[in-house]
Formats: sequence, C-alpha cells, structure tokens
Amino acid sequence: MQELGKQQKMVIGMVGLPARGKTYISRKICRYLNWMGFKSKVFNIGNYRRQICGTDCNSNFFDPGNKDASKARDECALLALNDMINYLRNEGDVSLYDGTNTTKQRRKLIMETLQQKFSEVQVFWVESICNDEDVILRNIQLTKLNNPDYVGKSSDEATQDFQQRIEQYTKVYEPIDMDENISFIKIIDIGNDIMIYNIQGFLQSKLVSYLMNLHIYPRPIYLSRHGESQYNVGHKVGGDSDLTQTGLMYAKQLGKYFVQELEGNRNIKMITSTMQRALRTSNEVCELLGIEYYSLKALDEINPGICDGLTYQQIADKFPQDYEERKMNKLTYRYPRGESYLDVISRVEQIIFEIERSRLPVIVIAHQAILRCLYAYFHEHEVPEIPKLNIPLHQVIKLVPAAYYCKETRIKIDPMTGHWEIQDEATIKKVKSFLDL
Amino acid sequence: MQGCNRSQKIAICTVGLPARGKTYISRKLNRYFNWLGYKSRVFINGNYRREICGTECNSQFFDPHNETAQKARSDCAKMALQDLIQFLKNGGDVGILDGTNITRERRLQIESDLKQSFNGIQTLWIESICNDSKVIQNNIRLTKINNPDYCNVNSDEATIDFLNRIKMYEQIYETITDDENLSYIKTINVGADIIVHQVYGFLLSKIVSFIMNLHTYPRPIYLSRHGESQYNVDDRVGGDSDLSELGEMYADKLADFFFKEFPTKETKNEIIFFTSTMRRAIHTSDVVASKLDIQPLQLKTLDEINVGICDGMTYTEIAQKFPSDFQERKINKLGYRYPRGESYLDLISRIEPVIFEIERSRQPVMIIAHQAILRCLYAYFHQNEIPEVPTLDIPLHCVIKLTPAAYFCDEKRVLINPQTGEISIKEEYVQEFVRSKSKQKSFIDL
Repeated sequence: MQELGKQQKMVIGMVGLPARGKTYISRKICRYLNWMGFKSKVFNIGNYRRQICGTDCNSNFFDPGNKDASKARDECALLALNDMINYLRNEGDVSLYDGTNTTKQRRKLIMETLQQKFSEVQVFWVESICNDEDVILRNIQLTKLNNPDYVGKSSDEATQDFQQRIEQYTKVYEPIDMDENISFIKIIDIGNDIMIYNIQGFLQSKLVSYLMNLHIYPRPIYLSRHGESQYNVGHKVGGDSDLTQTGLMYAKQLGKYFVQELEGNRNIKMITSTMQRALRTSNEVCELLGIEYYSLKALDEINPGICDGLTYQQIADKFPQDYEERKMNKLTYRYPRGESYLDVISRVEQIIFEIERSRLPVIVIAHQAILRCLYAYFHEHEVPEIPKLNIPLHQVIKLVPAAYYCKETRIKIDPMTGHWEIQDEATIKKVKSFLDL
Repeated sequence: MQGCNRSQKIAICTVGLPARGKTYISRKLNRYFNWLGYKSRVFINGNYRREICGTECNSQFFDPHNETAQKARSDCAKMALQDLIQFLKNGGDVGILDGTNITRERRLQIESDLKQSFNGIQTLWIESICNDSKVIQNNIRLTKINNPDYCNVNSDEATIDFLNRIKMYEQIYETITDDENLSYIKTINVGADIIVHQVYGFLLSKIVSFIMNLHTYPRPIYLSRHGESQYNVDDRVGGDSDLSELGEMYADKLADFFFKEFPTKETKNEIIFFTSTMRRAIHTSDVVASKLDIQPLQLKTLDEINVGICDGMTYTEIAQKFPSDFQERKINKLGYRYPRGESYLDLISRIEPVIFEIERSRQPVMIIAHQAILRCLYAYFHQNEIPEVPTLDIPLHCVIKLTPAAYFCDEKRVLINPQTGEISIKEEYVQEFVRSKSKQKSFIDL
C-alpha cells in the first residue's frame, strides 16, 4: 500500500519546548517511514547549532532577548531547512524538521520558505506538549545529561542549566493555533490527549494512527523462531512441516527460559503464526507458563509460491533465472505465485502497530523472514539489509526500547542441555546513537 | 487481528445536537465492527421515543421545560440503555448508544450505569460538533425529512419544525469536559478537527483512525472481476491463468464502458484505480488503463483467496481427493481455511487496509479484482451480513457501481456482453422514504 503515499514529498515539522520528546517522536516516525519504504531523514536543528555555534552554550544563549544569539539560531534553522529541501529534491520522500519551532513567527517563516522554494511539498506539524514535571525531569536525565552541550559538567549543574533553558523558551512559546491554517497533530501528556486538525492524504492519516499507538513504557519484546523443523533439516523452503525432536526440546527449554525470565508475571502477550512448527513451539511454552497465545495468519512465513518444498539446490536447478534474480535483489524479488520481502513488510505492519501499542511484554514466536522484518524495524536497520539479517534457530532476541534505541540481548539456548549463553549488545549502541541523529 | 482482545465489552455513546451525524457515525462504526467479526448493535434513543411516545412529536415535545415530555424521554433513554446492557450480557461485544446525551448529568448517569453493570467495560464517548450551517441543512434534508416523525408534514414545515427542535436542545447543551472523566473523541465539522482524550486500547484506537477517515462525499465505487480466465473456463480454482478470448473481449468492452463514464480528462485523473498482482486482473486493468490513460496500482492485498493445496483443481477433483474438506467447506464456507491456504475470514482481515483507503477517498474508486475479494468488499459497503459473504453473487462480466449514501448504499449493476458489448442495467435505489413509511420497524431495526 505504500505506493499510495509516494505521490507527494512531505515535511514533518516538530513543535514543543525542550525535553518534550520531539526527538524521540521524530526518530520513531523516521524509523517507521523508512521501514515502510519512504526514504526519510531527521534534520535536528540542535545539531546544526552545536556545529556552528559550538557546544559551550549555556541557557543565556537561548534568551530571546539575546540578539546575536537569536540571529545565529535563526541562521541555523534556515540552514537545516535548506539541507532538508535538498534532501527531498534528490532522493528523500519525507524530511523531519526536529526543532522547537515554538513561535508562530518561526512556523510562518518555515511555511513561507517552503512555499517559495518547494511548493509541491506537503507540510504536517507534530506538537508535543507535556505538563508532567516528573516526565520532563526524567527526559532531561535520560537524554540531555549525556548531550555534548554538557560534557564536563556535573549532572546537577547540567539539569539546572537545562531547566533554565526551558524557561527561556517558555517565555515566547505559542502553541499551534487553528488560525495558522496548518495541518497538525498535538500530542499531550504522552497521548493522554490528542488533537488532530486538517489531516490530508494517505501518509498523514497513517502517521496519525501510528503516533496514537506510541508510549514510553519500557516493556520488553522477545522474538524467537520456532524450534528446528523437518524442513529445516532437509534444507527445504516453505511447507508446513512439524518440529524435529531437537525442535521439540528447544520448545520445552524455551518455556523454561520464560518461566525464569518472567518471574511469575503472567500479564504478557504472546503471538504466533498459524503454521504447525510455530504452533507446536508456542503450545509447549504456553503449557509451562499457563497462558494462551494468539495465532495470526499475518505471522506466517514468507510464501515461496512455486518453490514450496524445494531445496535451494533444487530451485537453482529448476528455476536458474529466478535463483539468480533472488540473489541479486533478495528484497524485492517475488517468488512466482508467492511473496517478496516487501510484501512481508506490508503484511507485518499491523503486527508492528500491535507491538508498539502494547504496554505488556510481548513474545513473538514466528519464522525467519518474518522476524527479520520485525527485528529490522525495532533495531533500526536499513531496509536493504533485512533479507540477510542473522536470526538463527534456537535463540531468543530480547529487545528493550530505551530513549533513542533498543537495548538488545541475545540468549542462545541449547535444546539438548538447556544451557543459556547471553550476549549483550547494549553498550555499543549507546555511543553510536547520540552523534548519529 | 480480531483474534486479540475479544474478552472486553465495549460501549460507545454518541453526544451532539440533532443533525450532527451521530446516527451516521453509529451506523458506520456498527458496520465496521460487525464486518471485523465483533457482535455489534446500535440502540437509537430516537426510535425508542418514537415507539413509545408516537411519531407526532413536534418541537414542543423537546422543550426542556415540558416536564411530562422530559420524563417520557428520560424513560425511553433508560430503556435503550437497559437493552444495550442486556445485549452485552447476552454475548454482544460492542453496544452503541445513539442519542443526543447533551447534558453532563445524563452522561454521568449512563457512564455510572455501564460501569456498574460490567467489570472492566470500556466506554467511549463520541461527540459530533458542527458549526457549518450548510452541512446541517444538508443533513436535515437528506435524513430528517424522510424520518417517521414527519411523514404527514411537507418538507418546508418539517425543516422549520426540526430547526426549532434543535433550538430546544441548544438551550441545555453542555459539551464534554475533561473533568467528567470520560474517554472521548470529539469530531468537529466532519472530521476536520478531532480531539481524543484518554482513549486507550486496541479497538478504541482503531475507532479513532476509522473516524478520521469518514466523510460524507458521495463518491462512486466500481467493482468488477477480471474478464473470463482459462481456469474459469476449465472450472478450476486458484492458479494464475491468463484471460480467455472471451475475457479479452470483456476487457475491451469494460474499457469502453469506463471511457463513457469518465468523459473528461479531469474526471479521469481523479480516479483511484486498484487491481491485484495476478495476470488475469492485470491484463484486464491494462486494457482499461490504456484507454483512459491512467495507471492502476497493483496491490497484493487484492489477490484472490489462496486455495492452498487445492490450487489448480476443479471442485469435482477436490470432492474426490479431499472429501472431508469438501464437506467442511460446504457447511462453513466462511470459516473454512484451505490447508496451506486462506479462509474468507482471513480475507476480510487481509483487505482491511483497502477498506480504509476506500473510506478515506473522496474520489471515484475503481477496483478490478477477483470473486472472493469482491464479495468481501461488496459486503462491507452494501452492509450484508457476514455469513452471507461467501455466497454473494458477483458474476463475471459485470460492473457493480456502489454509491454509499447517508444510511444505505445505492447499487447499479451493469452486465456487459463481452461479444456484443450490449449492456443491461439493474438498479437498486434505496427508497428511504418508502421504507420509513411502510415499515416503521426498519428504522429501529438496525
């Protein structure tokens, strides 16, 4: 369905005081759009300011009365705007303009500049409003203190300075008004209240649905393939084969893993496909946990069409052309009478919404291609990488969403011995994420 | 996704002055839920009032100072609510209370009654606000004049009386405020502006998306199957066969038909054109596309139902090879899933995004697809009962033009002879006026 949104380029402008989750939201939207096939990029005005004015800016820099600083900040905003327009002209479909944009004047300036330089573009505003002091303080602690602006300062100093910075912005803050005649969504107190005005088009409509499902509850997501199946052993694709003995043992060990991991909490959600190997695995786990699972056709493995039941060797022999085509472009190649990875992404989108929405831990027991697509979404991989991602059998991938990224832990479970091997990838991700905005 | 979250009961209550589209929204939501597989029903306060107090109620009846009338109306509202609660107790999933509910007092009473009747019931309030007098006049003209309340009155008198009725309500109208502690959605001026407050949950979030996409533009939806295919000739299911000669002729005649339907370049460019990724549909669409100079979008979601292991077989062969499956399908064609394939219920789930797209569109929609797919789409817009879906009549070489109107859907079937190009038309205009006069029951009986 993503073809429908391709017709127009779009700019999404963020609005809100500091520490209101604008960067969080823009990154989420960017992630979602890229995953759906729309080339998107976030242009963070703060980063431009840091590059041009340096990182030694205390709260006085943000005083609206400070004429020099205001001029410098305006220039940064326009620079970011120009880069954004260039991106859209060249390869991008959607640009996200991540800045405070807290005055009517600034918003008007942006609308007029866009109208002048790139009139075919659609503009959509997302305003984040938060009045909960606890949430704001937590945001500051989680994301601002490690900000390059505060390198070398104690966390108390940094917090105080940042709160002063917020006050500077508050002096001139004008929330979006309907008479500005712009399309917008206001998200208040993390979705407690939402206001939608003048939404137009396929993409805006989808984004609103998406945004309504976001929250900041740090619930874990567990992804696992079914246990080893008969076809896995025979190296065949497709089919609806059952588990092997080893596969069954994995299922039981998986159940034991969850019993320990969940520590008595049975308030969780488990979803699986309608295929035998996944159902049997889920059955074993659910029996041990004493919960029920939901079986969804949307989680069924990629349909290999006419190649169903063949080994890769047999496919290479019988359909050499298709075999080559798939090697060259595994993402878009569609098995005759079957699916492509892009079809799977489309199919699995509703599952993404479900998982995003859920405030309970989610366990997904599914198949390789399906999990590649799900994993890529949460872990921010580039879409072309999806068909090659490493999702081996007999391994649980635990994802815990944190501020701007997902903490990942992989638990390799030996089906025979039940022995676990834990791989933690958290630290590497943390350093990368900030500069990489 | 209907597998998830079936356990909770949901009650939806409308709020708003008369002629604000409350019944329209209730009916649309009711249709949507039933189509998704939830047991849903609308309870209209107005109908209860009509049954009990009669239909000769002019605007004086609605005067807030008219004490006897007030008591009568309040009793009717209580009955509607009781019936809703009873419905939910007897296995219903979603109850929709369609009424004005414009005072805080009334709302708090209803909310408290609902919360007391069910542990963990989810309630949602939908307030429809409209300040556009043109829209209101239009609503009155389209839906009120034919209302049983005005069956003995001419349309000018009816309009004046109805406007007076609205004034009565305006005297005591209190819009929903946050301190009432209700989960609500306010839709203002037909969805131009939407406010959502404390709405959480799978189904309730879907409702917001659904309401966002509603509008009242009367645009036509054209449904047609691909032309006759090789497999159709051989009576086989599944496959990805190409068009037969007759099928190709149909494609030509279909293109001619659409060429006449959309005479100007502007109208042609407006069309939203979808087809599937299967040969027979693509070839039919290509002929239409080149004649109209437009491009169809090929959606895999519109591919025909996947018949799994029965692919390529005739019904006789299926009966012979898989007799128990054959029987099972005869008994429960809706839920039966072909091994390694799909069921009609899977199909309904699969095409939901397309339904949303069509609802959202304000331009004519053209879909060239397959029998099972079109049965599902047709059933949604034509408001058929779900169990009927697998047996609906969607023949080859026929264009079905649906024009959704206020509460019903007009239909026009254009049967095109592929060889001669001869056209025969069957029309079904829903005569709301006739229905409402002759069978009062029909208004209540949603």
